[in-house]
Amino acid sequence: MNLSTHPLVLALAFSPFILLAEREYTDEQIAFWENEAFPVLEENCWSCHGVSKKIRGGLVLTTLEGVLAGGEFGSSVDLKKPADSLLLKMTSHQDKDHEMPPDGKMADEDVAVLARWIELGIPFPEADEVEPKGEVVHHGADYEKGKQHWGFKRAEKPALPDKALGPHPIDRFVNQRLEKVQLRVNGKAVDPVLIRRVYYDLTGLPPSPAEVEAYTRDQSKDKFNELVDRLLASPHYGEKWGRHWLDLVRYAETNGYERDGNKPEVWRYRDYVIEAFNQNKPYDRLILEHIAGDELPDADAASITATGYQRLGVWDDEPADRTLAKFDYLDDIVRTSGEVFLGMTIGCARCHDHKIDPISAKDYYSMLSFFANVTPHRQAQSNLINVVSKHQDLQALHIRKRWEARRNQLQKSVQSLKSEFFVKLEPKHLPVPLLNLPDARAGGLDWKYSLKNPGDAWETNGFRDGEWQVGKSGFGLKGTPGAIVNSEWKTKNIWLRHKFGLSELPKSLFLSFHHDEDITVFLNGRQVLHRTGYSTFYQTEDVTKSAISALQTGQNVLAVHVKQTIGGQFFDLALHGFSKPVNLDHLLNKHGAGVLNGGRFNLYKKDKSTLAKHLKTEPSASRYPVLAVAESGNHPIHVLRRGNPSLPGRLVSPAFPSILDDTPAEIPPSYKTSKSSGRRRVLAEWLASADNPMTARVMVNRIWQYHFGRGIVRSPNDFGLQGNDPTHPDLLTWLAHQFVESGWDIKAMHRLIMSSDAYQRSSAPQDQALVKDPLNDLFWRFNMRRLQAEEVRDSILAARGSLNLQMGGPSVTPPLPAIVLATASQPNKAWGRSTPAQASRRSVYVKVKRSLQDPILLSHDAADTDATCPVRFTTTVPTQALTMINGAFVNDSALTFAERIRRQGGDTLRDQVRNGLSIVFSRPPKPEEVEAGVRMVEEVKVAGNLTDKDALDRFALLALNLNEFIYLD
Amino acid sequence: MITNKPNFCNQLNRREFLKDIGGGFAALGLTGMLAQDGFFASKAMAGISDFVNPLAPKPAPLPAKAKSVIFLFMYGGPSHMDTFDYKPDLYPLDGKTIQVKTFGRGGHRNESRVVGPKWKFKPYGQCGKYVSDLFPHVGECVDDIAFLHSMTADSPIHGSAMLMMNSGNLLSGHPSIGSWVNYGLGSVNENLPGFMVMLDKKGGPISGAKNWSSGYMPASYQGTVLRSKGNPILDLQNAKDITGAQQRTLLDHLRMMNEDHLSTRYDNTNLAARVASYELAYKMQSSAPEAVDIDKEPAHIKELYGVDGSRTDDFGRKCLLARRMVERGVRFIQVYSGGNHNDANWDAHGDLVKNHELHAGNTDKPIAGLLKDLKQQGLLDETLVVWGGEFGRQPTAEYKEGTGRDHNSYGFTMWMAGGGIKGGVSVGSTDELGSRAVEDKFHVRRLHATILNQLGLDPNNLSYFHGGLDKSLVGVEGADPITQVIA
Repeated sequence: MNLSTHPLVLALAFSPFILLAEREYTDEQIAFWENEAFPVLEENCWSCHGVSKKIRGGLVLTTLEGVLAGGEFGSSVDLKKPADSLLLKMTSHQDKDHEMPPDGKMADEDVAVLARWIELGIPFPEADEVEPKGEVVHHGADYEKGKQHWGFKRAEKPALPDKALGPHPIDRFVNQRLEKVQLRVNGKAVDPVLIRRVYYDLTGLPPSPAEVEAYTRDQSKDKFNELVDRLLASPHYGEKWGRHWLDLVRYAETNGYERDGNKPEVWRYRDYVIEAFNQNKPYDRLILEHIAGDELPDADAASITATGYQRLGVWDDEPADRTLAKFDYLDDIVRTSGEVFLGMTIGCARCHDHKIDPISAKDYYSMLSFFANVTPHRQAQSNLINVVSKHQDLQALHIRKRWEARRNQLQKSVQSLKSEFFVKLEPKHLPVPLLNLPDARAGGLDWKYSLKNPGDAWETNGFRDGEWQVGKSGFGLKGTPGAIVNSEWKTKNIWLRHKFGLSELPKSLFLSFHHDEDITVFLNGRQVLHRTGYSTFYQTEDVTKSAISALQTGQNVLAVHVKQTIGGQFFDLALHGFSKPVNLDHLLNKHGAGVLNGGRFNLYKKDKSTLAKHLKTEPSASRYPVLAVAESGNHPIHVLRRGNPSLPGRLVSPAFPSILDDTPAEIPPSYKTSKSSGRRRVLAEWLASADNPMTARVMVNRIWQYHFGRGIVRSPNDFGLQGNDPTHPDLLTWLAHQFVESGWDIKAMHRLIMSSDAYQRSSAPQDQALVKDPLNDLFWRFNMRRLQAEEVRDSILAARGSLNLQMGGPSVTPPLPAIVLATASQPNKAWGRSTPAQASRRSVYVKVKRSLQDPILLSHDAADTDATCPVRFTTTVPTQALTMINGAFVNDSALTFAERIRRQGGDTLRDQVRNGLSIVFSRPPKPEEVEAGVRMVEEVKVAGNLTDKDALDRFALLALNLNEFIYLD
Repeated sequence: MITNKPNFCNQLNRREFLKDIGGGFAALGLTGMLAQDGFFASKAMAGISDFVNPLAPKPAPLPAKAKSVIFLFMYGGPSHMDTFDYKPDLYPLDGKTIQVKTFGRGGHRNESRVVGPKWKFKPYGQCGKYVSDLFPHVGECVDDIAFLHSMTADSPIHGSAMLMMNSGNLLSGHPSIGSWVNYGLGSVNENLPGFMVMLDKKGGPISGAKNWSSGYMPASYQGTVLRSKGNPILDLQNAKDITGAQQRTLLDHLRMMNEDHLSTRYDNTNLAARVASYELAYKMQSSAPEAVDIDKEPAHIKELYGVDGSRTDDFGRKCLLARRMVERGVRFIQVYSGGNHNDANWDAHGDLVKNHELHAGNTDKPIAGLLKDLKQQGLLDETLVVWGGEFGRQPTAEYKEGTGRDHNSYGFTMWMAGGGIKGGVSVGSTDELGSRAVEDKFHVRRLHATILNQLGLDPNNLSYFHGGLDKSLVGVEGADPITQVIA
């Protein structure tokens, strides 16, 4: 009997409701279940789908209901077309993304059993069901619950509490809560404490003893506000508050991963941030520039630089899955922007609807589609855009251009003579060649080439070029001077690849080339050369420094793109590697006269020395490259099931998180520019709008947090259901409205907050209040805080009197201990070596390298840069103490610090100790503290049989380790 | 002394004040206890989550078989079919071009030239496990080893594959496994860091410190680099010219002055913890040199590890150091074989024989020495040893000439020994070429789950809240331990 045509089975097959309601089975069905289906399911499926602690994929297979309901990909069975059931596709490995069971394919007979089971109408006796005990991942964003959550609600500006609560609006809100619990608040902090607090808070630097003294002596009523105004006007304000911002935007200067390559010119973004805070750029403008600085009608150098924000994340130049990597890159932008600007963990909805907050996967991908056309991240110079400084001077531009023309002319002359020498030099003068890819002058080389755009990743080792044509170099048309054509090329573009093997790595590498016009050369995917325009002769360059580390044993690939815009076209290239370093200049001096005849050796020497002089006269640039965002193409975005690019769901268009705004995002045609879609401008304007319920609240909460050590909402990047409730909701809302009304004026917000009593309170403990409000939820006192990593280092530099306050420019690389450098895969190349003066610059200018960090900054909890960092940790571990007591930086600093107090402190030990303590405490020390210091010097002198100088050196080291130096009241 | 100040224990939302500032160390136990009952909730919350000593020991939530882990990381990716995954059918195919799907640095391929295994295999031990001539000493230990022949990873590219093996994730920014272990269990010995990393003398692996980073967790959970020669830990030694007596005097006065400062700020546990941290650092300074002083080891032990001035000396020292760390309660020790780039590690793209002879020759005796020594000292039962790289290698050649093999994350071998793992077993298998796992595929997450499980941690419950999600080492999907190898 054919069971599948059994009338009962047919009737059941179309209705899951009936299947569940009427669980009466024929004997055949029961027998099949017991003998066939049950054993297969139990052995292969149940351990993950019903009986374990976690229910994988949300799929329960231990109950009939579970089988019918299915998991994250829908029902596991297709009742209408049993053969199309997901259960079968996955177990038969037809669904390449979900091969079940994950440990290995089950026997074909077993898959057949499952097929038969579905055909039979899924007989599943209730007695055999196992109720799942594990946690089933529940999906689906809960919008109704979300609408009730304070964090997502728009709130009107609350009325100010009663005047009787105080003159200052902030104090009225704060006192309102304090009054209810009858808590006595701390009094105002004393002057030395206040000035130190304000200095660090606004500039990240300590006040000098003289400044403390002057402030303490000042009797004027308004001295506090004047101090705040003075420091807000200081350029060091931008360095301190810019650093807070850099934490949020995961600022780093390298990409991470295998090569941890530099992000070129990224320091200009850091300088932009510092400048923006110093100029008090309105916050709404800051957002516009970060998200869409290139699309704005008044885009300028600064706004384009700001878009570099989107390029600050980690980037794997050699991902295992390129399509996924593209989404990882966009995810980083969406995730960071969601947390930073909106205080929402939108990134959690990448694989499925947010588990807690009302954010669906559709919301996520709609948000992502604002950024969909952002060009991919690339190595080296690829993401740079030239901008012209606002303060450009046409004459300066002209001078610059003339200078560049002359430089190019001299460079070409020197290069061509060098190249000729290199080709003509007898091999006996060179070391053993390990790599010899000849150009047409030496017979040419077979290249794979393509005349159509090969698409993404064509320059990498793993790209398949099997379909490409083969031709011998050089390529082009006769017409370019000096061209030797073996293969004709007459189109606009040519892409070429040549694979070669290496069993031993060369120690020096030379590239000879001749191009018409723009040429880009990649070695194993890394860009090693880029030249624009055309050449009229072969040039040879020593590329050992820039390119040799790209070589690898085994298979290598050389890839070249040549682009012609006008006139003729030509390309030829040779690559030579030798077993030993080769100094071409040295060889030229030795053999040049013999090889370059007819006075050309003298010409070479003359042009070379002229070039060296010329390079020293470089005029300052008003035109410079910045790391920025660009768009290309129009990339449709689909919801990706489980975040997997090979499982596209419905198409989405740009839209805002629907819990906040469910009106469609329309892109006005006028927003489209010649280079971009205008999408990001729409998002930016929505984010920066006074109507956005999140933006202003999230930002004033951050400003509050950086002043008080904690936000009114303690989870500054998460205002969602998992975040913390505000301790003072009305205050938060009031401040947000105030912020918007002030024109998003950040400095005005500082003045408002800092002028409150709440800010100026002492931090002392108070027994009664500690009992009632141990966490200081009510702001009855000011919270003590440890200096941030950068402040620790800067304060040590300041104490020793050698902090270099030079602002801006490329980052510096202070010396690192050898044991730290040894952790890099190429210890000699991982870090630079700044001059002592440069090494003494503020920490905000120290290079932020993802794989290598300065121990003094790292051990004091500098921001992790792989994701946005909203709150710094404050950890205390013994290794931190080791760095502070034994580390080279602190010990060197102690010597300089001691030198300083010997020089300026006075003649007696007592005076010197007093001076030292006044520097580290930013206040005059008490007599007993001076005595304690003097005792220390005397005892250590005896203990170590030391000279006076050495003993004071030890005291200086002690002073830099005092808690009072590292903690603020 | 301010011990008579009121104690606000219970009012402080489970956060205790110091009971004895004079003792100082009490502070360091605090956060361990607090973290245990979930107080920190590890959220990014300003103003509350001040970690005092995150490394204070915490009891394992589940019965633990292992107390410590030694992960011998063969960076670059050793070839499984030339070491422990015997493929007799592969020899006769040498030089023949065959259809086989591979994915490595050189991209996806459908056919390539076979490179036959370059070493002979022979059976060892009671279990008769076939091991290649590259590892004759390890061969003697096979009865204590469980081989996982069907490992798979998500990437055949070093950068992301290293992060996957170390942090369970292809993307940068996640805590490494050693950080998870310290987060979950703390460190038994407060005088030593709980997670130590020993690097190859040629340099770190690619991505450097990212491989032992604590990612989104506090920096206190990150690995500490330990050196087998010279100053063992960063800044462990006194600065030049500062003698022990001077330093003691300095620290005594530092403490007195800090306690004076603390007396009017008596509720601030961070200040007290900082005072205590200097004393701990001091103890570390006096105990760590002893811990790393392997010269005290008897000659026969040094000989066992190959610490004899020969090619095995360097890795032997590190293995011996690892055992000494285990004895002192360090939870997680990672030892790298190979550093830098190309043939300075196991990444045999050019000359397979030269590369693997070098790295196996440097490590075979030390690894066997470690296993034998742990066993004879009775430590193997509670020490889990893990061996492997970030992936394996392909059965075929990478380019026209030579014996070099490209990367292979479709299938490779790792092994475990000790710490409650069965000896003399082999689980999972690759196809007859060794090109991919076919039976009992074990994703890297399963390995991680097994390691955590042996330490008494539930891999699916050990989580840390970050960026809106409870994150875990084994990912949102979770993963179960490899029960087949658990004794």
